[in-house]
Amino acid sequence: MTESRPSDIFQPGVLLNNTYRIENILGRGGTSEVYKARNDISGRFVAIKALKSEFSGDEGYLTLMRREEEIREIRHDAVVRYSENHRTPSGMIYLVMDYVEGPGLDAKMKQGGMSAPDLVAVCRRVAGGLKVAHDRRIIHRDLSPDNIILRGDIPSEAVIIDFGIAKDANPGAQTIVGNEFAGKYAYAAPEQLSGQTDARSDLYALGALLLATFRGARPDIGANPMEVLKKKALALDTSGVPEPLKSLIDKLTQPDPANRFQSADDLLSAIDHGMDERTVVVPRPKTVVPPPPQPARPTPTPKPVPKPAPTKRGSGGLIAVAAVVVLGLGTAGAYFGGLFNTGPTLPVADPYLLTVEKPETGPVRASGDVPSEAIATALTKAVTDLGGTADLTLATGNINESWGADLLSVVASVAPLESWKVDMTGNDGVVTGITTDPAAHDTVMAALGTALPGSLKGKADITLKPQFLTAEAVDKVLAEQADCGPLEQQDPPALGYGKDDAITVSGHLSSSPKQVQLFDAMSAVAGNRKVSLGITLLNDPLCEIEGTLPEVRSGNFRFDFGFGDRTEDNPSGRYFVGENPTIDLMIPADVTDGFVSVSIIDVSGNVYHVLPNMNRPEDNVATLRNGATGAFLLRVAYPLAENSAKTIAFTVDPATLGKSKVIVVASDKPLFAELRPTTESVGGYAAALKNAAETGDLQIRAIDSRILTSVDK
Amino acid sequence: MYRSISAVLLVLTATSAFAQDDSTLTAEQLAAKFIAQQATRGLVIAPSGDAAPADGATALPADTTYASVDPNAQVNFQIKFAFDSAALAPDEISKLATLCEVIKTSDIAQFKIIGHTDASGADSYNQNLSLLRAEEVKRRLVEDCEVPDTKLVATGVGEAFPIDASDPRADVNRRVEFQVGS
Repeated sequence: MTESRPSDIFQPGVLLNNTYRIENILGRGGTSEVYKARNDISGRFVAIKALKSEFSGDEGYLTLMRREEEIREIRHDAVVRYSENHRTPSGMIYLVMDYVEGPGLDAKMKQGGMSAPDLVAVCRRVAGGLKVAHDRRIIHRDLSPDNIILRGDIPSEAVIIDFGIAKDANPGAQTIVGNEFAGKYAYAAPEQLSGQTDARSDLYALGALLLATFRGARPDIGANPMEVLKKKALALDTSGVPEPLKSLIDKLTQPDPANRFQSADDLLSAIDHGMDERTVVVPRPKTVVPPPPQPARPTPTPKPVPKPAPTKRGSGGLIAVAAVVVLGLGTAGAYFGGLFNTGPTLPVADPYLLTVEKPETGPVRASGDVPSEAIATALTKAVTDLGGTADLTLATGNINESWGADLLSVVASVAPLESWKVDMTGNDGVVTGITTDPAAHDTVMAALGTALPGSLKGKADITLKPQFLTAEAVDKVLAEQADCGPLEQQDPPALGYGKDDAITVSGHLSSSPKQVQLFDAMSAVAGNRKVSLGITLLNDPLCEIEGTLPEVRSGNFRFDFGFGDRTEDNPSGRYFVGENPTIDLMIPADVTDGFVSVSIIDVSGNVYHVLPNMNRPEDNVATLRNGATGAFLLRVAYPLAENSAKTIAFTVDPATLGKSKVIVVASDKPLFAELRPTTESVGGYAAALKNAAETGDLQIRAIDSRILTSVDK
Repeated sequence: MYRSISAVLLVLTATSAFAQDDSTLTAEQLAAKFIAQQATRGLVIAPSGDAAPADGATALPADTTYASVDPNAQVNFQIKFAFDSAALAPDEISKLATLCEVIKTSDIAQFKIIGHTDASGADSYNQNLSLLRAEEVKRRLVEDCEVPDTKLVATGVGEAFPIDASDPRADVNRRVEFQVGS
C-alpha cells in the first residue's frame, strides 16, 4: 500500500461530504491523486480521484474532470463505474467511482505472469468493455497492466479502471526524459507518440500489455526517446507465445494501425472464431475487417505485414526527438507530428475546448483541442517562445475553417499583456487580460475590443490596472479591515507602490482570523507585491480603548517594567502569576509642562487610574518634576513592601491572564475635569474619553503605551 | 487580572443593621414593590416639578432629579463597590439578572438608577463617583441584558442620602437604588 504523506490532498480518516471516509491513497499523478474510501452509509468502498488544489480553479482541468465523469455513461461490467464530481467546502474537486477489489495485471506480472488461456479470457472481457467505450467515442489512451484489475482474481472478471483523460494534461509530465519517458509509453501505440489516438491505439495497448503479462516482464522499449521511437516502429516479439494468444497479440500490435484489428468488435469475433476452432492453428485472423466507424479514416489494409522494418520516417524522428530533449520539452504530441503519419484520423471533440493563458503568476500554458498538426506546431511555438508549455490534442469538431489562423492571431495580439487568457469553446472565445501599460491596453482593445478576428465570435475585455498602487487605495482596505484602532502603512511611497515595492502595515487587530482576513484583503489589492503585517493582537477591552483614543503622535514617553522583590528589569513585559510588577514612567527631558494621566487597561475589563487618583491627585508635570530637569522617572506601580495609602501595588492574579496595557496620555490640561475613581470599567473609561474629546477643548499632546502580559507558570 | 492588594482598595461586606438588600427578592416580589412605589409615590412625596403624569405611551424626558422615597418603599440593591471604584465585580453583576427581567417585562415606562456613595471624599468627587456607579449599572443592564437604553435613567446623588445616617462613612451607604421614573 502506498504510504500517506502530509502533502497529500486528503489524509486517512478525513470525511468527505459527510459520506466518504478516506482509507488510504492508491496513487499519485501529476494533476490528481486517487484514494480508497469507504461510504460511511452503505459501507461500500469507492475510489476517489481528487484534482490537486492548484488545478481546482483551472477551467481547463475542470473540463477534463467533467469529461471523465462522462465515462459513467458507459454501462459495462468490464468498465469501472463512475459516479459524479463533487466539490469540498474548500473548493477541492473530486470524482467518485467504484473501487474494484482484486489484483491488477501489474501485480500478476510481478508474480511471474499469467497463462495464455487466462489472458485470452482477459482479452475477451476487456475487448467487450472497449467496444462499449469506443462506441461512445471514448478512448482510454493509457491502457496498461496497472489499470486492468481482476475482480476477485478472476480473469473473466477483468475491469478497466482509470479512464485517465485528465492525466495527459498534466504540466508536471512535460519534462519526460529517459526511463520516465519509456515508462509512460511502454504500452502506447506508435501513433500516440505523434499525438494521434483512436480506438485502434487502445487495441495496440491491449495487445502489448497482454504480451507483457504473459511474459511476466515489462516490455523493453528502449532507454531514451530515440530508442523508443525505433522500437515502436517494429513488431513485438511474440515468439514462444501459445496460440491463439500469439495471433491475437500479433494482430493487435501491428505498428501501422491500418494493419490491426480495426475495432473491438473485430477483436471479439476473432476471439470467438478462434475459440470455436480450437484445433485449427490460426496464424492470423482471416476475418474481413469491416470499415471503421470514422468516415475520415482511409480504407484499411487487411494485407498482413510480416516484418515491418523501420520506415524512412523513422530516421526523421531521431532528429525531431533529439530536438525535443534538447529543448526540455516533453509530451507535446505535435513535436512528433508526421513521424508516424497514418492519415487524418482525428477524434471528434464536443465541446471543442482550448485554453491558452498567461496567469498572473506562472508560465504561459496552452491545453485543449486543435484541428491540425500545423496549428499545433504554430501554437506550441508561440507558447514556448513566451516561455510556456503546450499540451494539445488533435481533434476535429464544430469549428470554422479559419479557426486555427484566427486563434493564432488572437494569441499574438494578447501576448504583450502582463496576464491574459483566451478561452475557446468551439468558435466562441472569451478573451481577458490585465496590463498596467496604457499603450498595450489600447492596442489590444483596438484589435480585439469590438470583435475577435475572422470567424471567431466574442470580444476581448482588457483591464488597465494602475501601475502604481496608491496609499489611498491601501488605506481604504485598511479602514475596512480595522477593528481595533487604526491600521497604518509604514512609509508609503509618495507616488504609490511600484510593482516591486513591499507594503508594510502595522497596528492592532482583535483576533487571528481578522489578521488572516487582512492579509487576504491586502494580497488582493497588492497583486505581486510583498505584503508584510506588523500586527499586534489585542483583547476586547484593549481594542475598545484603541478605538476611542485619538490618533496622536508618540511623545517618547517610556514605561520601564521591573519586579517588586528584586532589582531587575523585565524587558519582555511578561509576568508570572504571583509576581509583583513595578512600573516607572519616564518623562522625556523636553516635557516640562502640561499634564499626564497614567492608566492600566486590564485584561479583565477594568481600568486602573494610577495617576491621578483620589490618593495621588497630582498630575501637573511641572509640579511632579519639582525642579528636576532631564529625563524624569516617576513610579506609578510600587513594590508590595512600599505599599501605602498613597500608592498602588499590583500582583498578578490567576483569574484572568493575558495582555494589559499601560498608557500615558499627555495633555495641556487635566485629561478629565473631575478625577476618575481609581477603578472603573473599560466601558466607563471609553465613554469618558469620548465625552472629553467631544465636549472639551482638551488638547491631547501625545499618547504612549506598553503591553504587559500575564502568564501562568 | 491584577488584583490590587493595597489596603485602600479592600472590599468590606456590608453588615449594617440598616442594610436593606432587595437583590434576593423574586421577580414577583420586585414587581410588586415597584407597583406599590408607583401607587403611593404621589401621596407621600411632592412631585419633582414636572407635573405631567406618565401615560406610558410617549417617551419621557430624562428626569434626573432625586426624591427620597420612604425607606420601606425603596428598592435598594446592595450592589457593592470597592472603595473608590465604579467597576462592578462579576458576582455583583449576577445580582442584576432578576431585576433586569422585571424591568424588561414591566409596563412601567422608565426606571431611575440612583448611585450613592459614603461620606469619604469631597462632595463633588462623590457626586461624580455616584453617577459613574449608576451609569455602570445601567451599562450592564443595557449591554448584557438588552434593556432599552431609554427605559433607564442613571443619576448620582453623592453622599447626600445615606441609608445609615448615623455612620455616613459606612460601607452600606455605597449602593445603587432603583426607583420608578416620574
